[in-house]
Parts: sequence; structure tokens; C-alpha cells
Amino acid sequence: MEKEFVAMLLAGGKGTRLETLTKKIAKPAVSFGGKYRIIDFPLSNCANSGIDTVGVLTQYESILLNTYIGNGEKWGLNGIHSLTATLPPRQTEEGNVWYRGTADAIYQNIDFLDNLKPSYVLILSGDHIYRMNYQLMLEAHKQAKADLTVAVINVEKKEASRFGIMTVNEENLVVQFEEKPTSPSSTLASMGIYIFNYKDLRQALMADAKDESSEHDFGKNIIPTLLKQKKRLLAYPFKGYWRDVGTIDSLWEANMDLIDHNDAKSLLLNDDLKLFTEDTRSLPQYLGEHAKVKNSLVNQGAVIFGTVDHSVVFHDVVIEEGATVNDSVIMPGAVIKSGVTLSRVIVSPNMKVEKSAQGGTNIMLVQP
Amino acid sequence: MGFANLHGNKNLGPLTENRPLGSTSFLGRYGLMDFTLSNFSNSGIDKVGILIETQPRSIMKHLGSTNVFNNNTKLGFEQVLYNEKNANNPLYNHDLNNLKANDWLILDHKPDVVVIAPIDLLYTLDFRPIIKQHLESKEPITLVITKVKNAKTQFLLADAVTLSQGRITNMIQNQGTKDDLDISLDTYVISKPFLNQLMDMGPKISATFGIKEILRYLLNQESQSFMAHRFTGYVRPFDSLENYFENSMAFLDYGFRNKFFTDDWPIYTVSHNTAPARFGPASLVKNSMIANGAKIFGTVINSIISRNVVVEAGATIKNSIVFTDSKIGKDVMIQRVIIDKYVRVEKTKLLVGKDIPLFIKQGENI
Repeated sequence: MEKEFVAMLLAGGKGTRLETLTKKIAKPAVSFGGKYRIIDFPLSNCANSGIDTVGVLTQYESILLNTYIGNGEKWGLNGIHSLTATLPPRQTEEGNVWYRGTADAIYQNIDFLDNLKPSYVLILSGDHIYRMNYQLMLEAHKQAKADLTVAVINVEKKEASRFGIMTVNEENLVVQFEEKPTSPSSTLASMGIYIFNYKDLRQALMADAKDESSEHDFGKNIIPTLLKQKKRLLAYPFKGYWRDVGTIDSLWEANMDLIDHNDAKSLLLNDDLKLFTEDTRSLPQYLGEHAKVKNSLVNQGAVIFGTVDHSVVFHDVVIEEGATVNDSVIMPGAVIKSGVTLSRVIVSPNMKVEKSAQGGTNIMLVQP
Repeated sequence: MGFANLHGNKNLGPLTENRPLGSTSFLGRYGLMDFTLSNFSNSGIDKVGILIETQPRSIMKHLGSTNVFNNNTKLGFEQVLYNEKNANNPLYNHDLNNLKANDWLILDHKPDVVVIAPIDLLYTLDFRPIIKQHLESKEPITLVITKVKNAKTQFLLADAVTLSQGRITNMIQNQGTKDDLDISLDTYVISKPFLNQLMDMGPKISATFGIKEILRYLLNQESQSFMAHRFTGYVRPFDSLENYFENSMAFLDYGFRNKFFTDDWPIYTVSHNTAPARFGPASLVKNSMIANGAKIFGTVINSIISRNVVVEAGATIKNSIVFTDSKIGKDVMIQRVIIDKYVRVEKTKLLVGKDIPLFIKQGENI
């Protein structure tokens, strides 16, 4: 099997800052937007970009994630020429090692890539909420005759030290790259989306694997090394909605953006970049006689008898009469009992909430 | 093996003018035939033929390319069976001819017993105990019947049966003269040799005879008697636009909804990947079902709203059913109306149905 353009999706992370939401599931499997899981976004992007071969690298709590990805059917990635492969760490002739970093994860699957003989490899992260046509990024990569193209987005100056920051010249070629700098010299942040020429990627990974001082990380090791080697690194500017939902606050905020933020609303549009996800076989959504629902996103299978304002309500949630939910995210299967008032919270999946809860400046996670 | 029978479905007026009953939308989410197909699935019947009378396109579209009804997607199937030869001849386009024309499916799979069930009923029925009873009895056929208490107004187009010592001895169309009747649910468990016999015998008696007609003939003219299985669960027919409307509205009663839909008897259907429903800043929704993809900025009371419907600010929908992809414009008021797909109501500001709900046809722009 030969493929011009294949994707490798890094989905092994724990997402420690999501507290107990990632106690038993990996961050990419965390619920988002009333209906989805975070990983639906990059996988739907792949499908919509005409990419039919995706390797998904899983590690932390991988059972649910591996099962969820399955043969890629949920995103249509199970067609005659398609391949969806979940790639957890495995035992090999050389022994068995966990993935020690993002670059090591790809390195340990070089045989998988060799079999596919790709010209270009797209490296994605399973942690981000955005819509993007990767095919357009590949066009830019080819046109610039780049060795590596990194998707970048303009972030606010105060945020910049959380990201890998690029400085570019007038041709958008990267002249400087700093990983999480304390005093950033630009506001162009790496989105963790890379297109490599496979031969360059292979070479870089082989060398990195031998380097004992390396952390085997794309941002910390691979990109700085390629820059030092004077490779052509293109920055591909992305305009549109993109969020890293790595914390309870940012997860809440991105959910709320689906109600308030025009760019975020477009994530859910039913057009040529359509979002795919699992079919939960939920019953039709039902709103009762005294329900009051305003300014919210409510998924199929939800049953609401109470009051809901400015909230995201997932499938199979029950909000009883006399319960009030404001500015909150109620994850699948949760039950909000009568008399409970919730405000500025995220309710964990399948929670039975019997006590009121209110977040402050920070959002509160209502957890078991 | 099971056969979902789409022959002889009643006409629901304008609702089924351009689509068969089987793929007609229900509760904003299902197609009517999903109930029978799910009954088969949940009863462990994975091999299913779908006997189509007309409009195969709409059925194929509803079934989609993925096999949502099967447990094993290789061993199981939903085979659409269409009688091409007689498709344009209503007199001969009946279930028995369709089965004959597609006898290869039976020859292929060699079932000992087949279950034939219509799709114009709203019911959740476990076929397993009926099949068990049928096999133990060694009878050629078992008919599923139910007791109806208001037959003067319900099941008017169905067959009433006469029972003698628990066996069916007579079957005629319900004349609406009596309230207490045993009604045939057109649901049969048939042993293979008897099915062959019916297929042989049918054309010799009358080429226009479908299964129902030949069973009537054998009972009424030849004094045969058949085994009955009495179904005691909830069942309603889809035999008129009013009944469709009432059957839909019944689900707005939350208690009823939870009694009908149980965790151990899921109703499967094809998914459309639509985003969660969006409620605007001034939306007011009471006692209603809202499907995904809907955008509600106005008022919705006692109504069923299907996928991707837009209800603009100031619009009011009461006691109505709005089908997929329709739009109810600003300040429009509708009451007791069924709005078919792709309709835009913008210029007309008031639509009110009477006893029979008002029906707005697919694609109308009013």
C-alpha cells in the first residue's frame, strides 16, 4: 500500500490538568460540545481533508479510546482504501518501551509508516478543538518546497509563553523557534500540527532516537534540530477557531464558545467540513411542561424538566423539575436532582448531582 | 428469518403521497419501519428481508449503507426485496408474489421458520416466545392477535378474528360495529413447508391473493383453523393521518414515553451526524421533542421538531409536527399542523388545523 499523505495522531496524553475527568480515560476521549469527544475534531478534519490513512498513537488509559476509534467507521475512515490503526506501545524484538515523548511515539512506529511509503506525514494532536482542511496546508507545504510545515496561530502576548513560539521572515519561513519562552519574541504559536516530508521526518527521528540527552519531543527536540540544520521550515498561518482544552477552565470556556462565539459556532455547521462522531442511539430529546431552556446547546437524549440557561447539555442527561443550571457543562448521563442549582460548573459524566454547586473565578468540576 | 412486510400499508394521505410508510419520519428521529426492524434485532433475528411494495429509493435511503440493525454485520443482513415484474401492477404486487419472486433468499438461507411482520404498527414485540410456542405446537402457522377495546374507532382497516377454543376460525375486516374485538396484527410465524404451500396454492385460488387474503380464504372458505398468540402489549396502527398524529403526540407524555422505550428494547435507526439542538436567548419550549440540528429562537409547545428545523424569533408552534429541514419564519403562528420536509413558512403568518391536522406539503414556500 502506498499513500501520498498519511496522518499520525498523538492521542496518548493523560491531560493531568483535567483532574478526574481523565482519571479513567485519555484526554482525547473527554466529552466536548454536547455530543462529541475531543478526538472527533482532528479525525473529522482528516476525513474532510480527504486523508484516508490515520495511525492513532494511544498510551494512557487506552481501552476506551482504542475501542472508540475502532476501524474508523465513525468518521468514514473504513472505506476500501482507508486504514485506521490504533497504535499503542507494543513489545518488539528489541524489548518493550513506553512512548517516551511525541517524537519517540512516531519513531516506534516507523515500520508502520515504512509500509505505507508516504511522501508526506501529517502529525496531529488529539487535544485540540478546531476545523481545518489539511489538504490546503499540504498545498502550501509543497508550493514552498518546505521540509517541514508548522501550522501557527496568533495568540495574545500574555498567552504566548504557554506555546512553542515562532519568528518568521517575509516568506513565512521560520527563523527562530522557542518552546514555551518566558519572554516571547513573537505571538505566532505552534498548533502542534506538522507536515513533514517523510524522508526528512524519518531521518530526524532516527537521529533523535540515538540522542540520549533528547526528550524525544517534537517541540523541544525535533524542530530546533531541523532549524539548526538549516532545513526549510514553513509557518502556515491558520485563521479560525482553535483551542487547547487542557484545563477545566479552558474546557468550560470552549464549550461556552459554542453558544457565544461566532467562529466557534461554525465548528458545528453542517457544511463541507462536517463533524462526525459516534451514534449514541439516544432517544429523542424531551423538554417537559415546566422546562425553561434558553441560550443553550442540548443534545439528543437529554430530558429537561428544570431551568437551563447558557449551558451545554449532553446526551442522556436528566435535569429534574426545580433544578436550575446556569453557565455550566453537563456531561453525558448526568442527573441533576430537583432543588439543585448549578452555576459555572462542569458536571462529570454519569454523576448524580444532589447538592448545589457554584464555581467562582475558576470553574468547578463536580466529580465523584 | 424475518420479513418486514411493507405490502398493503395504509395511505396516510399527503404524508405518504411521495414516500412509503416504512421510511416516513416519526418523532423527529425514526422511520416507521425501524420499530419492526428493531423488534427483529432485539429478538435475535439477524437475517431480514424487507418486502417492498413501492418506492424502493426512499427505503434504501432510510436504511443507508451501514447496517445499524444487525448484531453480526457479516452474518446478518437487511435485504431489500422488490417485485420488479409486478411493481406496476397493483393487483399482482402483493407480498406473496414478492416472496415468490425473491425465493432465492429463502433457498439460500433455508430457514425452518419465518416471521412475517408489518411495519405499519407501533409496537415493541419479542418474537422469541411466539416462535417457541409455535415450534412446540408443531402447527403450520401462528397468527399474532391482540384484544382491542375500542374497535369501533380503532383498527378499522385491520382484520377481526373469531376464536374458538383458542384457535382462529374466521377472519374478516373490522366493520366498526363492535368495540370488543380480537384483531389480527398481520404478524405471522410460519413453518417453511406451509409457506411453500401458500406460495403454491395462492395463484391457483386467485393470482391477486396475498398472504392475508389466502389466510382469510383458508379460514372462511375451507374451514381451517389456525393457532393464535395473543399480544398484550401496547400496539397502535398507522392507518390514517389522524392516527399518525395521535401516535406521535402520545410520546409527549413522559410517563408513556418511558414505558414504551425501555433500556432492554432499543429502537435502532440511522444516524445523521447533526450537531446538538441550539436554543436562542428568547426561546421557550414546553412539553416537546427537539431533534438535533434544530435551532429554536421562538416558542414551541406540545410539538415535535425534527432535524435541522429552524424556528425563528417570534414564531409560535403549538400541537404540531415539523419535519426535517423546514423553517418557521419570524412571527409565524402554527397550531395543529404537520409541516413536511423542506418547507418554508414565512409569508403566511397563521396556520391552524382542525380535527384533521393541516398538512403542508414537502418543499412548499408559503
